Amino acid sequence: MAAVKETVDQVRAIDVDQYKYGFETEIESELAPKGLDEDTIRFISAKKNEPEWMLDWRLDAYRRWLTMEEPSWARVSYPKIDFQDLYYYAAPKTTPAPKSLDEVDPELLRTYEKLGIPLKEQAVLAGVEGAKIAVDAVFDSVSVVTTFREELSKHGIIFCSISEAMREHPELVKKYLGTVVPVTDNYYATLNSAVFSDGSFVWIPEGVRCPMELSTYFRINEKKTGQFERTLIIAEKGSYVSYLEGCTAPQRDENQLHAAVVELVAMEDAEIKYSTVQNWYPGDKDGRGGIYNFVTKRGDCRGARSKISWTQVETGSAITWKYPSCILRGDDSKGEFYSIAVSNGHQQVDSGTKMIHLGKNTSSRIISKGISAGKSQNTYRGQVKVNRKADGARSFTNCDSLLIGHDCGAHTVPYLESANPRAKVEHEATTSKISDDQLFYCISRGLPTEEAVALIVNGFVRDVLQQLPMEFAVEAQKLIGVSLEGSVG
Amino acid sequence: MEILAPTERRRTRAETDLETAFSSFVETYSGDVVDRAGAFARFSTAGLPHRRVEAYHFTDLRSMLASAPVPAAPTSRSAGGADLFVGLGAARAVFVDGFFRADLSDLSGLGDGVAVTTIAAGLAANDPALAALGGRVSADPAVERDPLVALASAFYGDGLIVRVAAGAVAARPLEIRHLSSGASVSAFVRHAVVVGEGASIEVIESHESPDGVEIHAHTLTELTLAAGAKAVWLDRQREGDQAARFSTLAVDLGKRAAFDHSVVTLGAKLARTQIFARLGEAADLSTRGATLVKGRSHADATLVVTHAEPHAVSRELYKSAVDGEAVSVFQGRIVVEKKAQGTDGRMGAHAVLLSDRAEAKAKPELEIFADDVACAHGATVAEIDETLKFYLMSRGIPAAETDKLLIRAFLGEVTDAIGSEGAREAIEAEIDGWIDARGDRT
Repeated sequence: MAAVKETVDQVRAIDVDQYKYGFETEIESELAPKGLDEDTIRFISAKKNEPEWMLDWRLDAYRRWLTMEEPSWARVSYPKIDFQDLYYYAAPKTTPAPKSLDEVDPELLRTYEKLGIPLKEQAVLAGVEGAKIAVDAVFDSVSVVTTFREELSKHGIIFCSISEAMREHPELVKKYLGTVVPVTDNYYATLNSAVFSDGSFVWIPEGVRCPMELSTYFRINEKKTGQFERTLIIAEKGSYVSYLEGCTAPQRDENQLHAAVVELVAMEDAEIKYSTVQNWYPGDKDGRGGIYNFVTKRGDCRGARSKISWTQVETGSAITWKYPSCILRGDDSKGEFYSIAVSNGHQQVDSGTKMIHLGKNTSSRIISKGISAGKSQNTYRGQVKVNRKADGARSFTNCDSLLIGHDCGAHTVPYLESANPRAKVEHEATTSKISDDQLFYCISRGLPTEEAVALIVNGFVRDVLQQLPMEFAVEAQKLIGVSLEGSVG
Repeated sequence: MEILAPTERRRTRAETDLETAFSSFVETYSGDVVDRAGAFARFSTAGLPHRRVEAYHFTDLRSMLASAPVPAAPTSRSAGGADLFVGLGAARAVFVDGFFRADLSDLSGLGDGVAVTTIAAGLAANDPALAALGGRVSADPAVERDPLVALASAFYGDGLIVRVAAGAVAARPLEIRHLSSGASVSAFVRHAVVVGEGASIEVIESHESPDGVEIHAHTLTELTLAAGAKAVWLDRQREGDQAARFSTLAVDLGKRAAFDHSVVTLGAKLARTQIFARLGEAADLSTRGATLVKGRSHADATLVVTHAEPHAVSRELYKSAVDGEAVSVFQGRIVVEKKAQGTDGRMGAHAVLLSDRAEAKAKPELEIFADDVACAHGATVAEIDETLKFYLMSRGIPAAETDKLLIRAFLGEVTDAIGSEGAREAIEAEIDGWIDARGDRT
């Protein structure tokens, strides 16, 4: 039970109210003027040397956004956001486009080192830094560096920041951007369409199996900024890619906004595996500070037999509002959603998925594990919808919630809609506390209470942890232990 | 793209109908003890609920109700209906178009300690006890905000007030029949049933109307069960194919009170049955429903079960068989408040789709604020299981029969558990009739 031991040690090793990524990088930044108007958007677009069509796209989104209302249906509450009191663009003042790591500000490199993100290819190759993973590092509003590009390009894979893709591969961006999450999709997606600053772009050519894990690491550093990243991943016919995403932010007593949009497109026989370990600063023990994480993630299984799999470990953020979804358009396509959402302190989580079955014999599987502790509120909200033409569709949902302590809440809000008799939709959910029997059993075998709780929690989330790439799984397991700190024993 | 500035909400025809109706209606009832204007204001501020109102997401009344018939007036016309429960020897209260009909009713023999009066009599006498009815329907503020509750609170003209004294046991069941004279009207009935400490009663409610007449039938029932009180309730709904039925039951269960509730819905163009239950300490709630819909019917069963105190148990099981182009909706929510440690709640919602164009929507929710709980829900939507059909056919049962058998078995889990023993057989026969009427389609 090494992992359990580790979880417990981790919990012990830190004081209450600790967030190990809470440091701030002292670096000079260039900011857009505070507030949001058409000039801010022109400023962002100009900073990124964007083509004219892109600016028009953004302005159109902005004008639509002005007519929209903030959604209020989620089970989260927070003071009204003043969208004029934010910086919409912040970039470290360094060389505009570093050609190699040597040109990147050493302060930035030190930041990523502290975060444990391997940016030095040699080090990775030498096995010093663990597994071989290509990283796109996004710092506030810009992508700082993308590693292993050369090796990837040998396979014809494009992996770069989205700003670069707009300049280098406008035809691809134009073809796919906004086709999965339309500009008018929802309040935050529309805002993102207007002001997004950077993010990753991945294109896997036909028949290529991406030889390494791709990942993006998001870091918010600057005060009073909003981060609006945009990720677009396209897997052409018969290709495969596994993509990881990680996020952290400094510890501050103000709330910061993160409103990202992620679009995935899987063509015939293609497979995309998207894993997230979300560890934005969750706020302190009194609920001060923390990130508002309002994210729209959606995958489109466009081709027959395509597959999109979302795995998420959500431990951070003061507020999470996030529903990674799959549109199962191609016949025989598959969607999966595996989620662990841990909330502690004053965190509020409203997360889940949507599986929209359009094609024949499409299938979806949803496994969600929610753990609430402290004074947090944790909601699973998910929709499974079977269209009239989706003959033979199959969907299975299992969501379990675990409550630790008397002051938290766990909620389950599934929506099942079926308009096809040949479809089979199943849903099951349970909510309970850690079973006294299990606890008693563990304790009677000599485990201290704290260790017993960690063991049971690890068992509770095991189905989902197994879906993560190995390196991530170990990290995620530790993270869950840390997040529950102060709530066990 | 045309961008519309936010303007005042446009009233639908049905909303205007209701407003017009209300302004003449209040004059008839001017000076009574009920705060009708307040209730109507609660309705008209937001108007008819639509799909963006979460509680009505699957039942969009704004688009489904084209108009609203005029409020009914007391009538002496006769009314038809299948006299299903005649053999039960129940006391009987009959309402036609929402008004009590003494000539068709027989409230004798309920025994000592059971008092039944009508709301109309209370209104006529300006009984101050009725003022209380105008206000609180339930301790749950969501009930008060519900637009259908507000409408019924504004328009009701009659109903029953049933009081069962502490320790009393009703000597025979009470049957409440809601019939229609065949006139196209909106009928509003409001019942209040108070069961004293340790007392018990059995109620069989039945709603019927003829096909081809546009009727809006509203019922709002408040049931209060004191400590240790018991009630068994069966609600059978068989409205006509152009009728809309809106039923709300708000039930408050005291300490160790027990409530056994069943609802069977066959028909109506649009049916919405709402149950708001609030459970006291160690209370016991069982509610179950069978919905059989065909044609273009839309049947919605909405349930909010709130565990307010520790150690209460609730069981909810709702099943629907959906044929034709019908839609069945189930929304169930178990709420466990912080105090309600030791809660045991279980909810199941299952639908079987019998035709290519049938639809089922389910939203089983858990909302939990206490940690020592065991709550679960399950939901499924599918067609009749092919392997079961195959098994039966391999045993020599003709294909046409297998479907009937399997639908019956599917709903059997609900009907077998109906608490009103005498009524169970009649309900089963009615369900069989519905299944047989489908014909021998496979």
